[in-house]
Amino acid sequence: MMTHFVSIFIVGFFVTLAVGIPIVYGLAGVSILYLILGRGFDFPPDLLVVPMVQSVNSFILLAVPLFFFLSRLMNESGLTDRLFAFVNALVGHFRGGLGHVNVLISMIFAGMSGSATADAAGPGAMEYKAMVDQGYSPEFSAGVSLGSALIGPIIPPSIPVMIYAAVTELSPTALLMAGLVPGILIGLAQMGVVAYSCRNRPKMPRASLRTIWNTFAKTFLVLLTPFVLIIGISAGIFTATEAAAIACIYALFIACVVYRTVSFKKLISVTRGVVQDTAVVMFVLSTATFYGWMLTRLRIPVMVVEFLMSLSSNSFVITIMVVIFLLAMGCFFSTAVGLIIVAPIVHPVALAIGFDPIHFGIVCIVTMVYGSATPPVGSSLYALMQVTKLPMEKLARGVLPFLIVSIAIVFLMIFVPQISLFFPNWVLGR
Amino acid sequence: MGKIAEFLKSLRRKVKHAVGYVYEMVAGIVFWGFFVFILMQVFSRYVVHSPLHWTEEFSRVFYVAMIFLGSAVVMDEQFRFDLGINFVKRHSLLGYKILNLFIDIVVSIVLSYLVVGSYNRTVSGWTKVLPLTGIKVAYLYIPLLAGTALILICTLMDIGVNLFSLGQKKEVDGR
Repeated sequence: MMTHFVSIFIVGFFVTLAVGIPIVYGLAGVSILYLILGRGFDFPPDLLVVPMVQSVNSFILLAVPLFFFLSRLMNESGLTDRLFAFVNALVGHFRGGLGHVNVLISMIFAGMSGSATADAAGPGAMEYKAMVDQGYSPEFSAGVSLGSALIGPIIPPSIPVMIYAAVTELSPTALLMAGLVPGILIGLAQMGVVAYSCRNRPKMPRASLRTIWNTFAKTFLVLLTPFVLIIGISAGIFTATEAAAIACIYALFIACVVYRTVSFKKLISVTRGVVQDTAVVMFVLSTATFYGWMLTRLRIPVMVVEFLMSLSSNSFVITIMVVIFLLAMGCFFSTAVGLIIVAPIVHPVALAIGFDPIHFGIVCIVTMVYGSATPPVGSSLYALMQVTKLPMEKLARGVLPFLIVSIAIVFLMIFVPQISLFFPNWVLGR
Repeated sequence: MGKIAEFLKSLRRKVKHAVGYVYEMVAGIVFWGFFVFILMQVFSRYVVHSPLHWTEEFSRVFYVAMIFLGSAVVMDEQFRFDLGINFVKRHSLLGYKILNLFIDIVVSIVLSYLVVGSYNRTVSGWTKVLPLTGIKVAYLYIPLLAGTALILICTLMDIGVNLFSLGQKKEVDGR
């Protein structure tokens, strides 16, 4: 009987996806089907509704709209333009200078934004245009912009991390901190790809110290934002939600009062965007909660663990299998939706194989983030396609070398847990 | 039949636009309310050193309201795989319309459960209050009721559009 339920549950979910039912209704629909089969038609619909509201009624998730707000405000207010001028003055003279600028801006922007799509649509679009204007091929320029945008949700703050923490009840602070070193490593690896690809390009003239200083002075206040967030959270001064609120008020202050680049109209547009971004992700999370609860009730995570253990008893091999599975999932689900669906399944795997759940969690998050740059379903890919007007194949080809080195870093993380655990262990005294 | 489909399509657009606009405005105001309560919480904890616990409860109520009102606005952008539906569309327009009808029926069944469930919780929550603020629990469920009700109405209109355009040779998509 149980096996029948499991089959109906899993097959039903994939059938709803295959016929084109929106995922949010597919998750709820399969849950309703399960309830009807188990209890008949007279089950109280409240059973669905209470977990929906309770799942989003969480303090950890309050940070999500604030992170969305921060990234949208940075983009709308032109603060990223200042950042571009400064970073270009700093590293623009190297071979493939604008490629390095592109990656470095994404790394700094990642300290203010928790979303890869926001990075691709904001700084990514600006950097792409600058690179093409300077004679870089559109394919390479789009590849760097898309590849570096993936760092956005890895370096804290991060929306996927908050979602994973909420679903698995892990410490959001530890998970956020665990993303810092891998994020920097991925950035450096991508800069390596830029250096190799542009080894034959001519060098640009070095900016004078005065230019560097002037652009730094104009950007200084913007550069403080990641520090407010990262130091605030890692030093245990604020929770992630409080740090997000402080960073938002700080960004509002510099955008509205100091630089005066945000009008009331722009603020309304930012608010609309934040409401829509948050609603899409959280509505899926709310319907997936009941689905997740039923996964547990049907012992599906236990079955997955038992299945993986039957294939191998080596924890590294199991983790690699999970990563490959997540990479495949990432092609079909957006990062947030994918994490909402797989987190209840993969988290018990970490506990079963004796991996640190924070380490395992950040490996899963980073892997799922890559999905946003892969066809057929990649939010960052589509955001950049809109900006660049390049066909999907060209963009996918352009981002491939950056994805390969980023995936290599994930494998490195699997074998060297200290890459992700060093920073949280150090600052949180774990 | 075609005229009814066209009428329903235009009515759906107007309802979605008008009610969606109000929802979006309320959700936007609620976002700022939520933001202010979070800031009050931070201020009271770190500046005044006297935490105001009720601000967290308020911010959660506002957050829930923002999500469920906002979700009604972005209902047409809910993520779905269109590989299957596009495959059918390429081969048979009638098949495509029937599939669309089927999807809308499934969606409306799901939404009906959510509307009834949130209505029940709203009614039962009228007598219960949240511990710190004294806000009625019903207020947590009203946005879900309002949001899902709007999506349900629009989906029912989509069903009407698809149903009345089945015999037509051109595509009349409700969305």
